Order: sequence, then structure tokens, then C-alpha cells
Amino acid sequence: MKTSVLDGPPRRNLVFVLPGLILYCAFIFLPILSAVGLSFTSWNGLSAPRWVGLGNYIQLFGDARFFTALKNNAILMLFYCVLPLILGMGLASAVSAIRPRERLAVRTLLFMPYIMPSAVIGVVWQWLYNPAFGPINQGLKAIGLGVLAVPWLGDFNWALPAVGMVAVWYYFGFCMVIFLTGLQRLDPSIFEAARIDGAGPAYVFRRITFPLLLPEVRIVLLLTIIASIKSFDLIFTMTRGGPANATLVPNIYMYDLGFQLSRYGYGATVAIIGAILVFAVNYAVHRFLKPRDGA
Amino acid sequence: MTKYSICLPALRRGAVSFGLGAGLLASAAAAEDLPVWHNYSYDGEIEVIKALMDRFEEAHPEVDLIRTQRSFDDLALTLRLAVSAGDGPVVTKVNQGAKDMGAMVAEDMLIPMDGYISEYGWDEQQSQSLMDRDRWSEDGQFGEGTTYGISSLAEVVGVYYNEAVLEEAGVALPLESFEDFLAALETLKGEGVTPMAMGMATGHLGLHLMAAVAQAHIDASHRAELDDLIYGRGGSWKTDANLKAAELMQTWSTEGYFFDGYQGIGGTDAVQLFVAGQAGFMTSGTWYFGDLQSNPDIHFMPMPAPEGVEQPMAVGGVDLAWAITSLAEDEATQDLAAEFINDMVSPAAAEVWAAGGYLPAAPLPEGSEVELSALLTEGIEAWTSLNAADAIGHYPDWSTPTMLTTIDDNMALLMAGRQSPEEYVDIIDADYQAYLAAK
Amino acid sequence: MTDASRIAARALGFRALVWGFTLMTIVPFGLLLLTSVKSKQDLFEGAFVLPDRIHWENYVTAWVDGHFSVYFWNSVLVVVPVVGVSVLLGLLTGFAFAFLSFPFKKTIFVVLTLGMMVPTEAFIIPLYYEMRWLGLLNTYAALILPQIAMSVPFATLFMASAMQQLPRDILEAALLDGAPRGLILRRVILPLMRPAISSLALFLFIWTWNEFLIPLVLVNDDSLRTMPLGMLFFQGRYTVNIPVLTAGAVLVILPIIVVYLIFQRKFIEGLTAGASK
Repeated sequence: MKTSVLDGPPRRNLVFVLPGLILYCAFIFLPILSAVGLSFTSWNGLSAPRWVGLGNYIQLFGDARFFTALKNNAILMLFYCVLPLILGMGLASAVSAIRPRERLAVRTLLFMPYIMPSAVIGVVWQWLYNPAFGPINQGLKAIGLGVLAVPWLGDFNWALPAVGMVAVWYYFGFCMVIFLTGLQRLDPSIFEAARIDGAGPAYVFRRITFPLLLPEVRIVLLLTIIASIKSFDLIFTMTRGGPANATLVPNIYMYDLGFQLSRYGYGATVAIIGAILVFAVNYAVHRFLKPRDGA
Repeated sequence: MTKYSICLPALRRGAVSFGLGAGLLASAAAAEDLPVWHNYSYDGEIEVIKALMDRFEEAHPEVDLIRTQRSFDDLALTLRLAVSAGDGPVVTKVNQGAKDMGAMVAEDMLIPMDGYISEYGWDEQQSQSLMDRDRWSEDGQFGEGTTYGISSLAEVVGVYYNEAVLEEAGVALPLESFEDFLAALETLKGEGVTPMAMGMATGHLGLHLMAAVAQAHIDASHRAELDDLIYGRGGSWKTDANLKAAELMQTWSTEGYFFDGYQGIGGTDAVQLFVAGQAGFMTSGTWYFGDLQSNPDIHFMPMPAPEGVEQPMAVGGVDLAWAITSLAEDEATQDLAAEFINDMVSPAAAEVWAAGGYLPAAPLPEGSEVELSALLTEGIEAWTSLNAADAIGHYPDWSTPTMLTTIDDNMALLMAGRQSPEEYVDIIDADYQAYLAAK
Repeated sequence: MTDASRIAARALGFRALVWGFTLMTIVPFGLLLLTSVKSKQDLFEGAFVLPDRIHWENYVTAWVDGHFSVYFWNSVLVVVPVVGVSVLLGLLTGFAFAFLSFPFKKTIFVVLTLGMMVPTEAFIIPLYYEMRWLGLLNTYAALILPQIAMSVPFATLFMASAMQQLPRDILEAALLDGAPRGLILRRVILPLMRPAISSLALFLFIWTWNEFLIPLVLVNDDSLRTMPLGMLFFQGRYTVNIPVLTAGAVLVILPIIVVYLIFQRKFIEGLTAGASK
């Protein structure tokens, strides 16, 4: 990073960093380190942890449930990150074309799911999907699409996409708002110039809008990837990983191992591997979507 | 710069005093507070437990009961963590079996109750075979040794049927045998009525139906095998009874004997639909009496005997046990806790439970004038005759710490046709053998 | 002429598309509201059928039996200090990362990013035992301190990247005037950062309000539960009564919608202010 005119002697600079850093280290970083240590032990939460070395890790690579959980989370990322991103960007472009007042209303409404506590969202959607009382299946049957009225969250094929669709509903408005903010940041004269040069909308989007929105794409991906990892809340309230692991993700598995089965050491191992994978994905986003210096 | 160095300590002090204040608030509990956790979650149950606890407080004005209500699953989730952290309940309900009570005993989180049992004479009201369910030995053997709990309610998993729905479909009552039961299901299905209420999204209705069918195929004279299996003394789940039950569950599921979309319906919702007359049968426990008595057409009976079985076993026993946790550090607290539990399992409490429509574990006091609901009368009848024949079976999930999850997960696969009945029984047995091997 | 009508048609298509998605977003809320004033019997009639009368008593049941006033104040008592302190800390560390050099800057940056990537579930058990050791379980401090710590990485990153986009000449001019750094941060940077701060505060507000695992594990006293936790345990008690459950859900989200609408205006004002500068 470039040094700034505001820079001072490093020791005095530390005053700005330390308060946040100390708090962070005490309540986040120290527990993370402890979790890493824990992953090399067998611990029931009460008696002293027993060192097992790489035993947990070796066991993990033969654990079919863990791989199911990983696969499910990868599929969920599609719903958490990719679909909201595409929808959000499309809508942001479309919204720019409508009147400012309408735009404000649409933006306010579309952003609404994002402010809801996920526990409430989970409870509400569980009811919407309910095959007996829920509006979705009743609606489908009413318009003669009864064949599509599957038991959503209880169906092996549909449970994961059904949870995923809630995530899309949850995040596409959020993505749109971020992109809209990004579009406002851009200098309108660029688009003016492009139009005068006779560039079509697709060209403008591909060559101007999207590249200039890269910082927003990056932040949206970063946030939604983290959100997909936090899918815990939604899954915990909707399916708790069921039916039979169809919506199991590493976090739920980790929680089961720890809180249900008191296998804290093995649970920590699942957590560590999961975190490493998240780290890798986020690093890839950082690396490949580096915005060009400018503006 | 200087401005920040002034404001930061102030901030830190603020945070500390805030934490201190909150800490003081949390620990400002009076000496006579008695925190009690329970799992009574249905409206009828809550009313009864509230009434019983109010009565205890009236009789003991110096004691303040702090009531915390947890659903079955939430209780299992939080109890051990809370007790180990030192801020949990002194008196609590705890699920019997390896996963909860067994684990807590192993960690010295529960206080032995044998002294209180003889002091209060609880064993005069409840049979040894019922109290075995709360026993764990020094070396971790289930079903023998020290007693760590006692229950308020008796439980039988049996068949609820809606008389009006059955009669309209032309089913002749009473059902004398398991074969009659199967025939009734056929008749209902032929008439376009959902034969059985089922919801698998939450709760454990599937487990109860399958266990009820499986144990009905065991004659009470052969109960030792089942006892050994559940109490972790060994045995195998690969039995004809289990296989037959698994086959039936799969058939019922794939051929539409349950509610449309039952996989996505919650257990309590399925009960609600059954109350509303949307199915002919429901197999579950007597704990639903309070909710089901609102429909007078609904009746209860034990699962009838299949051919070749003299006296079928019925899944059941007692509800979650009252126990004293290690948070009762001194003897005075333990004594108070025992006094409270005595109040909860007394014949007087039994009367309040019975008045609410629930099946108490203790007998009603002599000459009790409680008006019993029709459903409860049938329940007491079933309970009495099953006890006389020593035919009260077990919940299969008690057998290992992981069995509840293993059954719930694999039953869903079985019922979706993704697993054969043989595979299912093999997986259940594998879970069990792994537990035995690791013990 | 044809060009103009084609543009008009496309605008109309866009409008329909946008409003279609908007409708999809708010229909669940409408159904929620509708169901919350139905009786249990009405529910069997169908989800879209209007009730014969409005059953406000569902709300009374939810409010009285559900302890929602307690949950509400708990949420406020947690969210306000978490957001306030996190924004302040974010400003300080963000400033440092944007403009200052200090030892182990890269390492500290990586350590902070790590905290953003690692899900709470991964370290909740050690955190639980740490809070227990500190004697903070079942206190507001257990809800507040870890959540501030959790917010520090994002707040830092967010503030630092916003500060880097500030026009350098203004900062340089201020420095030439001989103002100390603390003063520049407060007098020059802070006003320019207002839009970013309000966005950050909104994000932190939402995350803290929604936080589920921390209160689930670190607090088991009903009188300390926050709104989402209250909802979860409420669901455990009232699954059989969907109208009361939905009334409870409305009670949880209504205050947030109100806060959101107030905040949203400021948020948008901040964004437009930032854009025009």
C-alpha cells in the first residue's frame, strides 16, 4: 500500500489499530486458534481434551456425510451468490430506466427481505412451503398445477433448491441496491459518450457497466459467499439439515457433532476444513475480480 | 490524537461497567430460587404444569420457582451445556437413554435419587420395570444400578382412530387384530380417505409408528430380548419384526397411505389435521390426549396383535424423568428439589394431570372424583392391561446416543424408496453394534 | 417515431419486469399479515381465503404469552452498543489501514480477514468456554462483546476502502493547515464519510439484529433472549397454531420495518450525497 501524507511514526499509528484489534483478538481470533487446537483432539466438552494428532482429519476424508454437506453448500452457493448477482444486476439496469420516484419505491421494497431476521424468514417460508396449509401448494393446485405441488422441504430432490430459492428471494434485492449505488457512482457522461458513439445496450453493459461495477460485484460476492456459509440460520429453522442430510451443510453438521453428540474435537475439524475452503473461494474472488485502479 | 487517547479509556470503562452491571443483574438471585426446566409444550400440558407449580409455591412461600419451558429437541440441545456452565436448572426433565441421561450421569451432572425414593416411597407407586428406565450403573450400564430420575406421566404409543371417519368408510369396529387394522387401512384407501395421519418434517411420528408396528410383533413372553437390546446388553436389530415394520412403512409411503406431502408436514401439524378429521388413524403416544380430546370421535387403543402373537408389546413407558442436577450443591437444595419432585409425582399431582386429560404414572388417590375424558379412560385401560401383562416396550432411540438421528434420517430414505427394508435394518443394527463396540 | 415507441415499449417491459419481481418479494409479507388475523378454522378454508372477521386476539396471545416486549428491548440493548462501538472502532482501524503504516500491517490484515471468513459456528465452542471462564455467560456482555469483535473486520475493511476513495487533495490541504491527525479524522474525514458510515451502520444493525447463534449458545435465560431467538422458541411452543405464529412473526418484523424505513431514507440520502460530491 502507498504511504499517505497522514502517516506518522508507527508506534503512534498503533493507537488507531489497537482497540479494535485487542477486542477482536480476545473474542474472535483466540477462539479461532483454540478451535484449530481443538481439531487435533478428542473432547467431550468436560473432561480434558485428548490429543489425537491428525486422527480427526484422516477420519474426515473418509466421512461421507461431510462430503454430502460440502456438495450441498456448493450447490447452495449457486443460489446465494450467482442467481442473486445476475438478477440484481439485471434489475438494477432495468430500474435505472424507470422514473426516480418509482425507483425509490421498488428499491425500498426489494431490499426488505434482507433486513429480516433469518429465523423469521425460515419460520415464514417453512409455512409457505407447507404441503398441508401452505399457500404455495394451495396456489399451485388452484391454478391446475397440482403435479408441481411437491412436499418441498420434505422432498429429497426439492429440499435443497427450496431452501436455495429462499436465499435468492433474500439476497437479490440486496444485490440490486448495491449495484444501483454503484451505477450512481459512475459518471453519466461515459454512457452519454458511448450512446453518441452508437454502442448498443449489450455492448455498453459488457464493456462499460460491468467492468466499472467490478468493485460492487466483488463486494456482493464477498458478502453473499459469507452469507452462504451463514446459511446455518435459515437451514436450522427450516429443515435442520433434513430430510436425511438432503440439506446438510458443514455448519449444521459441525453443530450436530458438537452440541448433539459432544464430539467437539471432530466438530472443530469440520469447521477448520470448511473455513479453509471458504477462504480459498474468497481468495479466488479477490484475485480474479481485482478492480483496475482508476475513477 | 490526544482526543482519542482521552476517549478510549472512557469507552473501555463504559464497557466494563456495563458488563459488571449485567453480571450483577444475572447473579442477583435469592437463596430460595429453584430453577426448573421442563418440556411440557402443548397448551393443555402447560396449563397443568403451571397449576402444579403455583400450588407448590403457595405451600412454600419462601421458595421462588423459576420455570423454563423447552421443547423436547431444544431441551436436549441446551440442558447439558447449561448445567456444565453452572447456570442451568436445579430440577429438570431429562430424556432417558444413552444420549441424554446416560451422558449426563457419566459426567456426574445428576444427583442419585435412591435415598429420596425410599424416603418418599415413590417405588410404591411405580413398578421396578418402569424405574429401571432411569437407572445407570457405575460402569455405564443402562437399566440397572443407581436411579437418577422419576417421571410424572405414563406413556403408551398406540393407535388413535376417528370413529366417525371409519364408520363412514364402512370399517367394522372394534379391530380385533393387526390384520383387521391392515384391512381397515385398505378400506379407507378405497374410499378415498387418507388412512393414516403422518408428518415427518418435525417431531418423531414416523419413529413411533414404525416402533409400534415392530414391537407389536414381539410377544410379551419374549420381552427379554428387547430389554437387552435397549439396555445395551447386546442383541441384534435384524429381526423379522423390524424388517416387517420397515416393509410396511415403505409400502404405506410409496402407495399413498399417508397425507399427500407428509414429508413436508410437521408432526404437530399432522396431529392438527387428524383432529380436524382428515385421516382415519394416527399412531402416536398418549401425550397427545390433551389435544385430541377436543374431537369426541377420536379413540385410543393399543396396537392390536398380529397372528401368532398372544400379547403384543406396546412402545411406551414414562415421560421424560424429573431429575436433580449437580447444580444443587448443598444438601438443603437437594432436599428442596426432591420435595418439589415428590410434589410432581404425587397422587395429588396425578389427579391434576388426569383432570387435564393426561395419563399419570402414579395411580389416582383412593376415591378420587376426577372426571376422566373418554380418551383418558381408554388410555388408563390400555395402560393397566399392558402393565398387568408386562408388555410395555421401549423407545428404540434410547439405545444409543446417535440412534434418534440414525432412525429419523434413514427412515426418510426408506420411505422415499431410496433404501430397501433390509438396508434400513442393517444400518440401524450397525449404529447399535458400533456403540456396543465403543462402550 | 418507431424508435421512440420501441424505447417506450422496452421501458414498459422493464417496468413490468421490475414490478413483477417486487411483487414476488412482498407477497409473502402480505400472506403473513393476512394469516395473522385468521382463526385456526379459517386456515383450513385455504391460505388465500379472507377471514370472516379480523382476529386481533392472535396478537394479544403472541404479545402476552410470547414475551415480545422483553425480546424487543433485549435486541435494542444489544444492537445499539454493538453498532455504535463497531462503527467507531471501524473508523479508527479503517483510518489506520487506509493511510498509516504500522508494524505487521499485512499480517494484521490477514488476521482480520480470517475473522470475516471463518463462520461463527467454527469457534462458538471455544468462545462459549471463554465466556464461561470470564463469568459472562447469561449477561448482556456475552451478547455484546463478541458481536462487536465480530464486526471489527468488516467495519475496518469497509471504512478503509471508503477512505481510500476520498479525494487526496482535501486531506493534503487540511494537513498543510497544520491540523493534527485526530482533528483531520474528525473534522475532515468524518463528514465526508457520513454516507459510508450510515451504510455500515445499516449493515451492522441488520447483522446484529439477525444474529442467531451467539444468543442461542451464550444465553439461555429467557429474559435475555433477543428477537430472533424469541421467535425460534416461540415456534417450538406454537407450531400447532399457525395464526398465532404468524402474528408473532409480524410482531418481530414490524419494529424492524419501521426502523428500516427511517434508516432507509437516511441511507439513500447518504448515498445520493456521496454521489453528488
